[in-house]
Amino acid sequence: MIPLLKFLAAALTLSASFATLAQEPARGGTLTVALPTEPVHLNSAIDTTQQVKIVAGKIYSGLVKYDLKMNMQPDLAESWSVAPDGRTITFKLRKAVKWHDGRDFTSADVAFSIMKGFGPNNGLVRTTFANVESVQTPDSHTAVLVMRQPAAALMSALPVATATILPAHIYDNTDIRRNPANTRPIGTGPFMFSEWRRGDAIVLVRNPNYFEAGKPFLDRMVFKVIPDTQARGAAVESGAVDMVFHSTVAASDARRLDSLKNLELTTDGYHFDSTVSFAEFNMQHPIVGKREVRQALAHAIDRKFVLDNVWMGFGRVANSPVHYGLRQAHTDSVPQYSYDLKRAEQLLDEAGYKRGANGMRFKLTIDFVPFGDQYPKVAQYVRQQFIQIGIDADVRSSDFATWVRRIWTVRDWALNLSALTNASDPSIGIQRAYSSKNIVPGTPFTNGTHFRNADLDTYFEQASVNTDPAVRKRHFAAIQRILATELPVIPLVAIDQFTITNNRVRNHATLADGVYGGFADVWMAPN
Amino acid sequence: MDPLAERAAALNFLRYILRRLAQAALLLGIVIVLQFLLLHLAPGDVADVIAGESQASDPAFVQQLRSELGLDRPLPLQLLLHLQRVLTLDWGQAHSMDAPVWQLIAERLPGTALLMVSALLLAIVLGVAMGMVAALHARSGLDGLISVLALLCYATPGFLVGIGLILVFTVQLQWLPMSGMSSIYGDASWWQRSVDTARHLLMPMLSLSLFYVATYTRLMRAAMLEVLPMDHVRTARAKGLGRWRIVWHHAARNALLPIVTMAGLQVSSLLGGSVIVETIFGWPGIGRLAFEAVFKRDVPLVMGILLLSSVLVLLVSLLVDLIYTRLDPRIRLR
Repeated sequence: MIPLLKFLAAALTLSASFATLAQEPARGGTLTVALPTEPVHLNSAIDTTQQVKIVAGKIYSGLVKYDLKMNMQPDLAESWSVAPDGRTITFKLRKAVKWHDGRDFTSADVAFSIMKGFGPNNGLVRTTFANVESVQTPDSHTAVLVMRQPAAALMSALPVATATILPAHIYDNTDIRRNPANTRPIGTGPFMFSEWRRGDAIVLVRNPNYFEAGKPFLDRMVFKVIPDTQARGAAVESGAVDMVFHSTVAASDARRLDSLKNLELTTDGYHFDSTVSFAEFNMQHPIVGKREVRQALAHAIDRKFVLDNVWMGFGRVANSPVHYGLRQAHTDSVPQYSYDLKRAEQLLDEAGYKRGANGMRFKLTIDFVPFGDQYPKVAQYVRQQFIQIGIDADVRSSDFATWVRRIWTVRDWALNLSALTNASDPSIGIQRAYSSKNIVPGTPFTNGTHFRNADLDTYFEQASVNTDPAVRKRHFAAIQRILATELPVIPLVAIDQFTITNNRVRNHATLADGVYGGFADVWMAPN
Repeated sequence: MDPLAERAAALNFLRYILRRLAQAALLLGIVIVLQFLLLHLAPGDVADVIAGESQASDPAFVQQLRSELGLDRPLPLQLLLHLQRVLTLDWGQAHSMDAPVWQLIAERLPGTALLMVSALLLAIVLGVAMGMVAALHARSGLDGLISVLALLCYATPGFLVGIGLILVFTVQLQWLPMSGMSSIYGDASWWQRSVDTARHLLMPMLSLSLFYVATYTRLMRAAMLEVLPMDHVRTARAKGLGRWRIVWHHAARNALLPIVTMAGLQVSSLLGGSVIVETIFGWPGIGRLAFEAVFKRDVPLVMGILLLSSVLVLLVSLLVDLIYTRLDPRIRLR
């Protein structure tokens, strides 16, 4: 009798879970998302901050979408083709698409967006799109990009939140940074702008004329500004918001929240945010300018410890500044620096920095990027490690503007702890930081280490114009080997960003740009 | 009073107000110049922040930003332009938020005003009441209890109170909303909106005011203990006046003077405290706006907020002096 009951119970549970799997998307409902910072405006063509992208991505559309394996899928473009020489790219556009104000979407909007919109104005991709000489519009549903030279990274740089297609009839012949539509956007996306309560919330409503019939499923989206980290955790725990994104609750808290029945955690959907944290060196510094010293310091840092105790295991130990998620480029077959204090001391001795009378070899400063609570912790850890091998280290704390000035203009630093977005391709995200062509004192996020290597420059240049994935992969592998040998940077952790949602939220991490995408397929299971 | 004396008094009053306003204007001017210079002494500017946030690594882009924002001009010229703007009541554009400064401030002012006024009222009412009770029962068990309570409120930082309240009332009990000023996004009646806002106000108001409740309790208790043994109270008691009339009219009225002074002085510190409370509760107010503006080196916005808060502090101190004369006729304006 009892076994039978058990069987019945098991069968019931099983059928219930099958029912969940096969569940039809439910219509309606409001999805509330916690924003850590209020966006300045909602024009993602000219701004690459997360808070702008996550809202604008719902209002606008891009030419294409990418699945989790970075395969292209139609968005505003139904199909596309790249000429064998890489010098023309043709997009066939969807017909009968309307802007939220009722006007027709045409190829003129695409031409405007590339030549005058995100093309020249998006800080992250403007060098990639600078290769586009013109956009031809033979008819209202065809856009042809004519290239000065091939841009290998271009086809992976077209998600809505970066390559945002803006309405030409609203933006053309205006000052794009001052256009009132930046705060009352008109897009083609699944949700329409409804209301902005400054300092409190941004409200979007369902676009009934969205080009994918029957979508979106949600009636409304609310983006609620919750600046405090603890409060964001409490908000998602209590159900006051349904989603926190981009690791904006403390990593230690995230593990606990993940264990709660009503919440789910995923690290999918952050392909365009692939970020590697690192310790980088000022190559002009009299001491850390020497390779042996940098190698010694690399042996003194236990990156597994940093991963487990600072990032609470969200990520992987990094041997390369290229994130492991960028499969077209990443390699681990590079010189490795195991955690070995004895070896570190030996290398320092060999470099001529023996311990002095007080047991110390020399003094260093440690700076760190003032975003998030991880980097001060890494700084303290690195300082402790350095003391063990006889290096007296000072940790300096500064606000963002001061830090930027210090690293890129004043240059009175030795070691800097920071991180860099790889974007979707090393030609976009990595080249800027290590190519000697991009040593531009005074400009943030250029090559701040002043690392110069002629071979590396050549590999970068060839990889950026070659459209053959196999050749590119070889170039990128060579680049990663040079970086790991010369060590202008010690990669620490390839970070996994995470989203925590109420488990009623479905389908939010099915695309490579995850929470920054349109949410046309997202739905909420009934209570 | 004869008409001449009355006119003289009115004239005296007017002269006093004008002199105070002139002093205030001078002080404001100094504050504006000092703040401008301080903000520019620090390394880095808003172009660094904007370019850094978007991880742009293109020198032409940063240069373009800098010239658009007028940051490539010499500092004295920037200061002159700034002063000119202040004088012509053109508060300029907030670079970091892409909106006119006055608009940003106007949008946030009601939130902060609601939070500050309600927190201050709560603190004064509770503090005065508790202080009076404690003084009337000095050295009793009740007095001890109130003292301990006040000490607790005094010693607990606002952010801790805020997080604690959220954990209890939002996460555990699910009674109160924890963030923002409202959560109604469709149509609703005036009454529904007011109730909604009041529910959002409760926790931030409490976390902001507890410290001040403690301050006023201790202040009121001390002041009452000082006033109660005074001659005029004894006289009142000898006249056979009722207990509450004595306490309220003869003792409390005098004891309130330090409270008014304190409340006036604390308007600026309330504004400071609201930064933290507004951050925790996502309350759309000036405090948070100021914090963001400083962090992003948005000089016009910082200056705008500063101008506003300086004006506020100067006006409140004038108001406090005027309230003095109402509470204590012996105080004269000079």
